Amino acid sequence: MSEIPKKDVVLIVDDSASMRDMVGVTLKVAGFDFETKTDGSEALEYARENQVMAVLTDVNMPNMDGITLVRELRELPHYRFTPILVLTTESSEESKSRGKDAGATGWIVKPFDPDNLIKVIKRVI
Amino acid sequence: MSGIDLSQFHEVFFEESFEGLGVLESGLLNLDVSAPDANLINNMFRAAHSIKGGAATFGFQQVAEFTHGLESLLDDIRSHACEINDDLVQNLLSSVDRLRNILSAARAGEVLDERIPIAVSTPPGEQATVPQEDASGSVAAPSSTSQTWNIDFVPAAHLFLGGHDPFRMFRELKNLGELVVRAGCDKLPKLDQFNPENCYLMWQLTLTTDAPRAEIEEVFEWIDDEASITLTPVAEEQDVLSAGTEADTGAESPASEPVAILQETPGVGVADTDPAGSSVITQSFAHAEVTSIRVNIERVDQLVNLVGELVITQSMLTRCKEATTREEMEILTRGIERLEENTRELQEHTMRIRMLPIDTVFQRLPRLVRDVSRNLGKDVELIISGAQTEVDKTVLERITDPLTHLIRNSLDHGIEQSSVREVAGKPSRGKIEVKAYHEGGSIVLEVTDDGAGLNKRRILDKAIASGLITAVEELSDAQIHNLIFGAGFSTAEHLSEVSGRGVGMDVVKNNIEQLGGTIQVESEEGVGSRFIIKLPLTLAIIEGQLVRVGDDIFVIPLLNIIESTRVSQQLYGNIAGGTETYRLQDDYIRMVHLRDLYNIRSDYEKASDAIMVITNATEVFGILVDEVLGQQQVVVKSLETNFKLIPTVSGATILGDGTVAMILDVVNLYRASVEVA
Repeated sequence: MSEIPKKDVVLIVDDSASMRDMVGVTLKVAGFDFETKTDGSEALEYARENQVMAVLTDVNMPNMDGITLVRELRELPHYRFTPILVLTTESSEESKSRGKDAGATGWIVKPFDPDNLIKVIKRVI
Repeated sequence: MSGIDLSQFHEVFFEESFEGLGVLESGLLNLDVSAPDANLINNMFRAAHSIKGGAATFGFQQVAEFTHGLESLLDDIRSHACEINDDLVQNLLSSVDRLRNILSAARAGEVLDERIPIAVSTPPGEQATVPQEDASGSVAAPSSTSQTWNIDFVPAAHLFLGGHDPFRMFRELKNLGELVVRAGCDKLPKLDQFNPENCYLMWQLTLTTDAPRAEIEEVFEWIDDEASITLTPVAEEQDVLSAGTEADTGAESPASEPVAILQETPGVGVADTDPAGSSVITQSFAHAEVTSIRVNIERVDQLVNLVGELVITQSMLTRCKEATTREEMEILTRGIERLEENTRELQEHTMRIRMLPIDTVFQRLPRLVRDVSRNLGKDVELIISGAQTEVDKTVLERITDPLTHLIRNSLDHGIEQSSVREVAGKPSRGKIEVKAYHEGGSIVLEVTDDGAGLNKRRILDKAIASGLITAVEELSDAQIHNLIFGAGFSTAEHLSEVSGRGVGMDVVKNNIEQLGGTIQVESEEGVGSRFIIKLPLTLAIIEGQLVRVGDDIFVIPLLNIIESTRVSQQLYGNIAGGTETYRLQDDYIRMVHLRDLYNIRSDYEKASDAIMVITNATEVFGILVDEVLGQQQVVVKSLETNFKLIPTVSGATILGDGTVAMILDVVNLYRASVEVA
């Protein structure tokens, strides 16, 4: 297998700029670097070439949705053990289990406050 | 006040009440809404009424108030002041669950959170809102701020896949309070079998925190499919860790044990009304501990009688202490014979005190099947037989979870949707049969469904994918079916809310083997599956086969033995790799030499001079010995407490002549022999 660089960043995938900023700033304050992508296919393209510490992805996005992204990422050999968290607006069991079925490590229900985000992120990194 | 301490009656009150809940629940489940049986409703009313009365008497205010609502509603139904319908039944069932929680909390000397509205006091017909469960957990004892929890955390092998890291979770728990982590390495394989991608460890955590149960559970919320997590509150006096903290549980009823909180929570074997069943998993593998036992008065009388006879025998023997004449000698002999008889009967009857009908477990099944099949949109009929079959209390307590899991599994993966069944020419209604019966010294439990059966192709694919077997192995049908019990045989790619909850068949198998039992599966594609569990009737005494190797005597549990045979030269084969095998019908089975394993001397030199005891544990295999001696009941003494743990030995016993014989743990014996080879 060719050497894929491992970066100490959290990959944030969200089509909403405000969300990307909010999550990014929160991570930064907690001492994590980050990379942002605006949809699933962009993120996947980046992921093929790079390993990251963890992925935080929105569900509803153009081009490729978050659930598909999770599934695609898990197909990549270097993403088998990577924590992937799904940001979902619904707290329903159904949407959580959809993420889990696809291979997500966990989920964060929107809206969330920064403290809570950090708390759950630290559960995996 | 009369000065009588009412707390001495509490335990009986709770037992009665839980029985009453059983009556309510089964009544509701059996109630035909279109033609309600007046008798049945009457019974339910009475059950509620007794609980209320008792609760008021013994000062369990919350129980009394809650039950009062339930009672009034049942009274209205009884007098036709209120019409019964499916929704109402559903609400009543939820109320029974809630009442069970309140009772469990009261038993533990605690009061459930005050905010909980009284479910059934809403006018009938309206949606009685049952509050979201926090599963009896946040039972904050009034005068207590901090609580110690035991957390049993048994992850599945594939935990790490998907990015989970237990140490991060521990870190989060540590933020909640004082945490002690102990790792269990029992499942750790030898280095050459070690797969670095698998998780072999399990943990026992002790957390002292003032955080509510929900907050602890939240830490594990992402992995409830990948692990079995059991949360148990610890009683203050058992809590060595809180010695320095100000833990003070409001000990309202000293006789009660907080451990019992988990006992009757709705999750124990019963799917909750929460459609996702989210609270099911944390409790489904918790042991339902019962602190006391109700014994039929007849049995006690029999014991008293027997002791009476023993006293007579003893005085008879005392008289002949110095027997000289022939007559006296005869009396002595007769006395010893009587003593033998007395002892045997006393033993039998004493053991029977611990025997309870398996009904207590079976009672929960109708609700389970109803809720789960509703959830899955399937139409399933449950047939129960042998509910009066008796089994040791400990076995009974620990069989609940594996059995529940098997039934969930059959409902989810076995029984097909009605439409699929019709296409296949089967009755649209699926059938699950649960049966218990005695066979020799064991109890047999069967779970049979007329569903799709095990799909061999899919099992093989999964087993290859998860590395249990290689693609080239040729396996018989039975061997393929047995793969589902393999550790790491994951259903992760096909998770479902009902059975895909992390606890795989390997856990079920482990639980059963820990009880000294076995589990087998028979299945035919398109026709259905049958799981057969065999368990010893009791754990204290087992039926054993004595065997001899050189000077040593070993005991093999009779439950594990298929047959004994002289090793025949023609059927004996040495295959490449140095493993000795033996041809048994169409299979080659492994031969295990006790003398090599324990490094002892044997009379036989080559295998063909030995006697082979064919046993069935994980696999069928043969144990080579010099001689097969008698069969007898042996009393199991723990080696761990009296000496030290030996992996291939489950305990020891003392034989009639005073020598100690090891009782072989056949399952681990097989594993050990594989590792040696």
